[in-house]
Amino acid sequence: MTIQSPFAASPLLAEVAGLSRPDLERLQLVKLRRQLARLYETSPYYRAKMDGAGLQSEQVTSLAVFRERFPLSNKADFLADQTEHPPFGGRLSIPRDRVALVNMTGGTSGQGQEIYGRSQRDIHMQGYLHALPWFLAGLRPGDMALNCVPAGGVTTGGWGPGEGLRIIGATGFHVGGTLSTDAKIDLMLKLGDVNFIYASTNYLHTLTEALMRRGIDPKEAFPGMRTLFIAAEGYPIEWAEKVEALWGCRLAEGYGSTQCAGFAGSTCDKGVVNDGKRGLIHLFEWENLFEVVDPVTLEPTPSGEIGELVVTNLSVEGSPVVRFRTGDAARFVAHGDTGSGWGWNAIECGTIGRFDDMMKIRGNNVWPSAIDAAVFAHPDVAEYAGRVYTTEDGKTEIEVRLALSETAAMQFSPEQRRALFQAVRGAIKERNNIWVTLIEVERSELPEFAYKARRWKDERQAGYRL
Amino acid sequence: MKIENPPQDDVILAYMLHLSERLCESTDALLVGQYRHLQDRIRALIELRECARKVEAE
Repeated sequence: MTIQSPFAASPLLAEVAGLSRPDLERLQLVKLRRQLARLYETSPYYRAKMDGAGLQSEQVTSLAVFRERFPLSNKADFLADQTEHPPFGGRLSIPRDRVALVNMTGGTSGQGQEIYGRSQRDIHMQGYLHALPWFLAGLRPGDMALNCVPAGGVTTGGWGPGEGLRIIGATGFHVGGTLSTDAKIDLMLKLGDVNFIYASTNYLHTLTEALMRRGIDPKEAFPGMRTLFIAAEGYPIEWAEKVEALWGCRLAEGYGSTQCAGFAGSTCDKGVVNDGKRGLIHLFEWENLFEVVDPVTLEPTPSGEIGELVVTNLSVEGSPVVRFRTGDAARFVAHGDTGSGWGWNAIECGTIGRFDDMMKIRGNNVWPSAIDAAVFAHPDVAEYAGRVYTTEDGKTEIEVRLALSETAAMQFSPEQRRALFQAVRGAIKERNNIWVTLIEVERSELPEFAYKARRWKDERQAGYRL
Repeated sequence: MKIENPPQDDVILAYMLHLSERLCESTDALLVGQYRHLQDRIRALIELRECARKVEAE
């Protein structure tokens, strides 16, 4: 079933897409100055930052002045602020009794969890910043939607999707973390006319694998499926093309985080792959101001290069972030190079990683997402787990335990196995410049991930991580 | 027990409901769900206030 383009279906969106870059930056500056003036009055944390820099909101006469003079913050700053002013820190810029929802970061870094207080207005906007990317990707009022990300709890990802589906007027089934994969498939078969699935990249892989294992052709079983929307993890182009072919619909991707208070950008109606090339995540820059910088020099990253995303919330009320270093690594594409005709800057699909996930192995910068891309470019691989360790004589070794898909595990001859392992090993070397030792294991020996996958363990002591 | 239930709130909510009905006529597919969401919240407030008034009357 074809639907109207998002811009034809929403005059509001058409208006935003029609903003020229200078108009968009003027809007950003107006919102930024308003935000800074409010924060000076309401947030002890940001008042101290501004006083320390000798900067008042009226002195921010351009975005360039803001970038040059407003101090950066990072996770450690926020955690220290929370320790000093528990529980929300001096960042909270609304009265505590107006906090209607608490969001926390996942804590996977091991440093601690950032706490964010959300006002009722923020909750609506958090919903909107899920509804908007999904609308761009093809979700429409009245659609049947499956949310495979665990709902509830204290994460932004636990609440945003529910609000997003609710306010756009879709019928949401929040099955993440509550139904097993087989139970989800049974439900989908009962529903039949499912139009939209939201899942982590990894979980969409698991769901697709499980359907194939049961002999179900997704394209035939769910002919009304319009969009598969993924987030949170990288993937190879080959995988994206295979998933689109199997499901017979478009794969879309968003970039979001707790610090962005929802999704901060998404693919347009072209999806994640175009003519065999990676698509773009267009940033909703009227809600968040983005800088992409070299993580060492903090100089702006040129278009086409990888840099660290620095985010400023232009209108969040509760616990806004201003010039926050996300640690997220993305390939920056300036608005003039996107080919979209819009004034929005973009980042590349499928390659977003974390600077703190990067491993230094034998002198190479190795990104887990790049190894994922090399491994999962081979459709006969179901899952893998990696380990970097130091041998007794001080050598660095890399072990990858790899499980084949059920069909390959049952049907592959020893020669086919050898050929596949050689191809995977070669692909890892080609994309990451490291040779690894591959070991075949049963699929059941490796974990299944309901949300973000954690496939790597670096067991080296600090002095050996070179 | 005295329940505070000022009648002007009913007037305001009724007016808001009327205005929201006009918003729900929007053909903007990104906004119409949000307008219906707003309208249903107003309807819920009207309904729960009617319930309180019944208690007061008894």
